Amino acid sequence: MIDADDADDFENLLRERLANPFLVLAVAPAAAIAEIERQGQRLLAELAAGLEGARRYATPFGPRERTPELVRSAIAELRDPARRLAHEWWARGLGPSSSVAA
Amino acid sequence: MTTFGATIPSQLRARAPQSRDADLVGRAGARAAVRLLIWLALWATVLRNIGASVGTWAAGSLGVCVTFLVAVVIPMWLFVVFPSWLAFRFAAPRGMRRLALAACWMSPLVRLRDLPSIAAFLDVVADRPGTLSGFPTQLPVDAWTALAAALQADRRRSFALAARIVDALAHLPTGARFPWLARVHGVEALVISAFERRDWPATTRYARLGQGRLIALLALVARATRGEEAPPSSLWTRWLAAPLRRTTLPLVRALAWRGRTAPASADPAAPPHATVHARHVAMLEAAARHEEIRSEDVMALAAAWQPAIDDAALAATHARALGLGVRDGAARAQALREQVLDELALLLVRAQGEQPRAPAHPFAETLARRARETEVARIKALLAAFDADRVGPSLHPLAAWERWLALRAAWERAEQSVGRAALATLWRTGVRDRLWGYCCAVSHVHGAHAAWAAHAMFDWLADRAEYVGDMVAVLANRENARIAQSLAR
Repeated sequence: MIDADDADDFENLLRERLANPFLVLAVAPAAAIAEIERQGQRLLAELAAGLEGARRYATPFGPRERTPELVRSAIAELRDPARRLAHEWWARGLGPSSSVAA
Repeated sequence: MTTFGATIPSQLRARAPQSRDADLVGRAGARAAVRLLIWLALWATVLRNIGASVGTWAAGSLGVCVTFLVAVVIPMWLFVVFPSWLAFRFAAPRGMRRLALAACWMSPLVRLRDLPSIAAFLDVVADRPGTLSGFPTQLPVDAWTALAAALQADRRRSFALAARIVDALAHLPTGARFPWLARVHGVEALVISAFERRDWPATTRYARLGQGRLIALLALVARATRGEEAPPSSLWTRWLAAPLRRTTLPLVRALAWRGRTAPASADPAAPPHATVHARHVAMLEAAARHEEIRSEDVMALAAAWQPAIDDAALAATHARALGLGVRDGAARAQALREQVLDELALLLVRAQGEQPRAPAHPFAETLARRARETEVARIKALLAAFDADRVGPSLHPLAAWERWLALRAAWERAEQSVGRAALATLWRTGVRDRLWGYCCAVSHVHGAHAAWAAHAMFDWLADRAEYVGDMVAVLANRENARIAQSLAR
């Protein structure tokens, strides 16, 4: 049996995990803040230019939509060291090696 | 409060529901008699015309079989099956609501009292705005309106509510009405809704409730798509027998071809996840998609998490926190562990199957305790809505029933983990009187309109009372269920 509140909780948690700033910005968890800022600005410029490749980012659960708001939010999250620590911890497990092609 | 009727509010005693029900029964009886007379007149005329015209045309040349076919089988089909076919296969899909209802009125498979519910169901199928949202006071709660509510919930992506309604319909008490037409056409609409969005677990779950050729085909297609065995011959046979052949042909052809060329494998599209983080998110995704999760899978995931969140791993995270310049790094690292445990407990609450009694690893006890606390807290929170004094005519019996479904789901889940002693305490300290009073109030305020739901609720209460050993409540609620059932007939 499924509970409505549960389903909402799980959807929110899933969205939170897959909107990990390191996945959104496609940078390694160990990346320096300068590299993160540079990558963020590059992605914002590409999104503004309407480049198709910038509109999606890879996750272990398939590509997700990348928006300028998501990119800005990701950069802001990673500027805070405490938040970065948590995102980094999850990103190490959700990086490109976390799923193996069948 | 030990008997049915103990909670009748004083303002409702002046005009007891039983007297209103008696009026309704009298009017319904007159309508049923008129309906029967019209049937007899119409079908007698049809039968006479068939007999006269075919008899004159054939002039005694027909054999026994053809005579039997013309004189018995075809008229029987016309009388019994044709009206419902016309209603649900022809008129309803084309938006001809009045014709569909007229055909239902003509069908001997449809009870007169079911017509308002069928009308509500057809409105939901046709996506008419405002259907069920205002809960017309005369609309009873029964299998048709329950299916209408489930379909509406499914289309509005309230999958949890749809699942709860389907689960309740699958576990109706003995004697509760679930008309054959509702099982065929009502459940079919629900199955198609899940099928159209390619939600195979929901398609399979809904299909278990119904009957009919299309439901059987869609259930088999859903199972085949999920990797279960489906012989091409079965697929083609069911496809040939089912309606909507043109729509389902591409999918059936693809599945039959796959069945011939390669053995089915379990969910070939899903990649295996290498890290525990990815496995964790995969399980969150499964929960968000309303797929079934097993308790043992959650416990296995918790065991896999252990080396990643034990003290050594947290020390490494603390070291990284120092490197990043995070203040209070130890607490931050600990918060990550708590976050993982909270999410695992949430998954465990959502999981199917009993939780293991003997903890297999150190986290298991923590997880089981958190899951139990969450479940008890949820029951207590839901119980706040069950106030008998607030049950009035404005609370539609369907809404009252849906409210009860939420508590039923929480309670039955708690039965798998919280334990009999804790649930017995919970039962005696609040659940019994509050829920009992609520069910009595719903039954008395709405009378026959809520009888079907009241039957299910009282029967469930009696079962729960039996589980916790409350024999007084068992006897009283069995009697209440019996009275409600007789009202629902």
